[in-house]
Amino acid sequence: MLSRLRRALRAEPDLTWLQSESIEAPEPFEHAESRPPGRRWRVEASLPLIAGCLIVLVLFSIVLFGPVMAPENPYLAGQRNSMIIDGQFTTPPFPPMPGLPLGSDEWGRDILSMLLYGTRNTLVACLFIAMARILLGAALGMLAGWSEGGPLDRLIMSTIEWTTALPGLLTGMILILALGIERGIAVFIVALCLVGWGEIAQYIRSEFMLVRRKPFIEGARVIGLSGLEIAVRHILPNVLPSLVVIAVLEMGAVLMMLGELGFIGIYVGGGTWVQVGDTAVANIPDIPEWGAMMAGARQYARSKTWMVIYPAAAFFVAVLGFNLLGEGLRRLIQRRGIRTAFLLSKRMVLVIAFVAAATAYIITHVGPAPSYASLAQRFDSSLALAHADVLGSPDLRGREPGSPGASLAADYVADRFAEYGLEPLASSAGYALPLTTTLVSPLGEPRLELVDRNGDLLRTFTYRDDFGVDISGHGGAGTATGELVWLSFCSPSLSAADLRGLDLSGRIAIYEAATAPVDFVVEAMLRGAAAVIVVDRDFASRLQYAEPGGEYSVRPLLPVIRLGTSAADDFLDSLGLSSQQLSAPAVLACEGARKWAARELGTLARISVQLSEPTPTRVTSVVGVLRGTDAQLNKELVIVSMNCDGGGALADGRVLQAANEGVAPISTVLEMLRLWKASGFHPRRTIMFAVWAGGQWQYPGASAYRDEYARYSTLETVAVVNLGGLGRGSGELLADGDANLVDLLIRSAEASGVSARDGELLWHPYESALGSAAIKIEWEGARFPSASDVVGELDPVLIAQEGQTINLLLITLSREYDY
Amino acid sequence: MTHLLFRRLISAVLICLAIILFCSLGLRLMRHAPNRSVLDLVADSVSDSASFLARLARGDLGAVYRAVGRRRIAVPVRALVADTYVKSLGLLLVSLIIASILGVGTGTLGAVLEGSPISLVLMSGTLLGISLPTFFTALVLQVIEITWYQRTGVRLVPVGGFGWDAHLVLPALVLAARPLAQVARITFLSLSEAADQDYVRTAHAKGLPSRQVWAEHIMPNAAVPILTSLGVSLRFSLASLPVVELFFSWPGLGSTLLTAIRSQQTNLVISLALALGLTFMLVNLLLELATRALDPRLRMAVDD
Repeated sequence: MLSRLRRALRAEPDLTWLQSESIEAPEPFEHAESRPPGRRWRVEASLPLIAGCLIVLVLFSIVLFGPVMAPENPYLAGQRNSMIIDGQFTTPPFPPMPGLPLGSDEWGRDILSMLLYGTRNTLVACLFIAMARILLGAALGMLAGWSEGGPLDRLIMSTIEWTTALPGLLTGMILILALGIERGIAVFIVALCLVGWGEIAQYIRSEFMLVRRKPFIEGARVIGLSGLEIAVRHILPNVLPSLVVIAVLEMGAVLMMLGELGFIGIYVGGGTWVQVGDTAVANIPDIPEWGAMMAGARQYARSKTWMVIYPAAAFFVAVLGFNLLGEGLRRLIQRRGIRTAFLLSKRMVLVIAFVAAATAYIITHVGPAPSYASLAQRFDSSLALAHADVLGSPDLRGREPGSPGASLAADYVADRFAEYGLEPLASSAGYALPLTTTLVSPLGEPRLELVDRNGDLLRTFTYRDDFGVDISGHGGAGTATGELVWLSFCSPSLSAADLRGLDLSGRIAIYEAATAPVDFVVEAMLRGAAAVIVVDRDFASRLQYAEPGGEYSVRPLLPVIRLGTSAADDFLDSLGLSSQQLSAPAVLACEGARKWAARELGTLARISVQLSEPTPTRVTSVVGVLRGTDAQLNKELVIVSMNCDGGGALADGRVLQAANEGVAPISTVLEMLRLWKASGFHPRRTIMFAVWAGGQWQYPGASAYRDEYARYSTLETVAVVNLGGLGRGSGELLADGDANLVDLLIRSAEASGVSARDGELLWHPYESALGSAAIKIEWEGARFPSASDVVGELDPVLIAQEGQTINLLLITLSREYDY
Repeated sequence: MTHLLFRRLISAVLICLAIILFCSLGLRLMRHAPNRSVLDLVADSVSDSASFLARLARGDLGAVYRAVGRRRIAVPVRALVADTYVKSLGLLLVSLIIASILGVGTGTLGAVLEGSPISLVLMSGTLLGISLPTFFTALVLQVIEITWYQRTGVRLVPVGGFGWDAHLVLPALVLAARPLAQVARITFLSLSEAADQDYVRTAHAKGLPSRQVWAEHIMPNAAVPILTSLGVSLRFSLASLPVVELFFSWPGLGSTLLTAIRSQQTNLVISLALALGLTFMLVNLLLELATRALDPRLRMAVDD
């Protein structure tokens, strides 16, 4: 070799050049032993191809299987805040150590996992951008090449000159920022495609022109093919191989650009701005992506090298791989000549189908959503039903508020909370949040019957399923029989003077709560009513004193019944009437002096309510907190709110389990917590799981929490998720409340294959007690007669569906900065 | 010749106008003005461009404010552009000189020794080199420097900051890495292609010394692609300039432009971008003229 160099620099002619052509006469027997002359060249030539193929294959397998290899899932794992290592208090970023093979970033996230997960995001983004560039560049290049010298050609060429007037990095940066970096990958595709298509177009144009001058094109023209046909049938196949090479090389170029853009702080999505303290904001790159990793770590490049060097090395290896592969392919095509036939063979179809399927899989599995969905899918309805069996068991005697059964149920839930790693609200108090209140309870079954004037029984209503008893105002116990008078009012804001002339003596007033003046019960009593029936959607009994420990200001004087709207409609139907029809005269009467209307229904009602003396009752809500791991987001609180109360046991031994509203949500949540703990899921926001006592009271456990804890808490409640009847129903989920949350639920349901829609639901006082953005979720048609609302009737399929949906909802709600 | 220069001048003016408009429109769009439609923004950016042109005609580009200690000091944009331009140009020139000397040398060596293991190693090395992202080279060099300092206590070169001395070494090396590989590759390819031509074989056959064959027959014929590749690598370097300057805190054009874009100082952005664009066009023009001077065929082809 050195001798060759010497020869080359000598003053004498180098005659070894001529030797290559001189024919050596080999001995015939030596011929078999001598190595084929081209072999070494072939190895040298295909070395880049082999190395490039290997690197790209490794990258491809990381894209496919990286998430399996990663120690933790960045989409689900939490951040590490601080650690004590060898007695030293350390804050992130942590250096490489056992458990963190490549160290952690400034938020304490594992770099190896982020790299492995990020491969998919980065390479898919790169693929899209490269494809866009190739498509645009090749199309315009071919156009220019075809109309060589024409106005179109000149236009395209000057456009290229214009787009390359500034360095691509700067043009790209300005374009991306101008189009809005927060819009994600689409902006990158558009911007980087606009920046980089010029070189491809130029190359394709020159290739096109080269091929166009070949004799076979002339031949094609001679046999009468049109310009388009020639372009597609004869020129395109000849340009195709070099297009493949360019595509591969372009992947390297785009990756390089993505890396440099990432380094100067421009990366897909642009991270999320999170408020730190009162004034400062911090940008968190929350999607694992190589460029984002470098952007977040640039300021640490000097002192905490591990944060930057690994993503940078990843970029290098990937760029190298694509460049080697492209170079190898180029040499292969150059040496073997242009062959396009193999692109159309049957084997190629298989390969293309495989690559297409893999790409489709990868593209649909980019980003956090698939991780969330796969975690949500692991919800096991049979384990949820096991919890339901415990909560619905006869030993608990229907979990009546204040009864031993209710406290057993609370203990069970609290034990599970402890098992699944929830923290108590206050460290001293445990999970129980006590509430002492004063209740009365019905003695025996309250009765409401309709009779005709002869005393014959027309209809009987069922306590709990059709009506409830109300002690607010002057409501109380007693028996009464009287003529039913339907009252309708012009507006709810009538004063006592407006009601002049209304005589109810000895009769029973019935009216709709929504249209009646406030405290009309008192008015009715003063006007001599024997009893009052309030028709309302919420007909749950109100047997609690307004204030905990309060007293009656006035002794209860007349029975007040809350009748369910559907029961009332049913009964009016049988009389051939409807509530609209009955309220019509009052609406018409608004102009006149009499702003109300009364109509005798021609039926008598028989009411009998016996109530116990007021007794102070102690109930407990169970509250557990799952602390968020994100340094900023864990100051935000998501409350998942349910109710455990059952109807108690009846005198005849039947147990009212309230399985749909009382048991199913709790079972769902407990199973979800088990799953989260088992799979290492860490929410970023803090989540509070609350099983409130007194679900139907006016002052429930939730109000007690609000008054005694929430107003002193440093946590800001951002969302309240109320779980209603989730065990049975028609199979369509209804969501009511904050539009953002409803939208999120509908998206979650869609992702879980459950049908869901926005609908109006009945809110219990505890569900709206906490303010904030709230949502209530319930199956459509989730109300059942209380006697048949038992655990055995819960539908495992529906439990699985809602479990998956609500799991996904809560995972997203607790992880995403913007949901 | 004058015709060509005239055409170039016209297109340069047009491209400059396009750069001004592009930058001001980009900055307007970045501001996320919620009440303004795209058309309003375009109108705004046109008026921005006009005011920039007016300022340019007056020779006063305004000033940007920089915090020095507790005070904010007005720095005239013109002075800032001139200052950063000189600093960047110095860095670029140093790195390009390194890249062209080493690159052409490596490529020639590879071509002369074609087929030998050394050539294979060199050429594989260049493939590695063109795949090197600047930030990775910078990181690796810096880690080497820091490790060296920690082991021996000797500071080889500074790892950041500005100065026309040892401060230049790392940024220039980093900037030179990719152009070097690129130039070496092109040199190798075009030399070995030229060495395969019939006239070279003839030259050998008629008994010219190898040195003469290379110097007179091969090199001149490969010069045009090599020169073109130098131009292309200058564009590579210009593109990577912001990254390198940011990494090594070199107060040049690129890093100033990045901060100006981030803080939306319209006049500064436009001025810097114009400086960059003009450099680009100037380099392209020089290259064209140089290739013409080198290759008589091109002169013939275009002048008619």
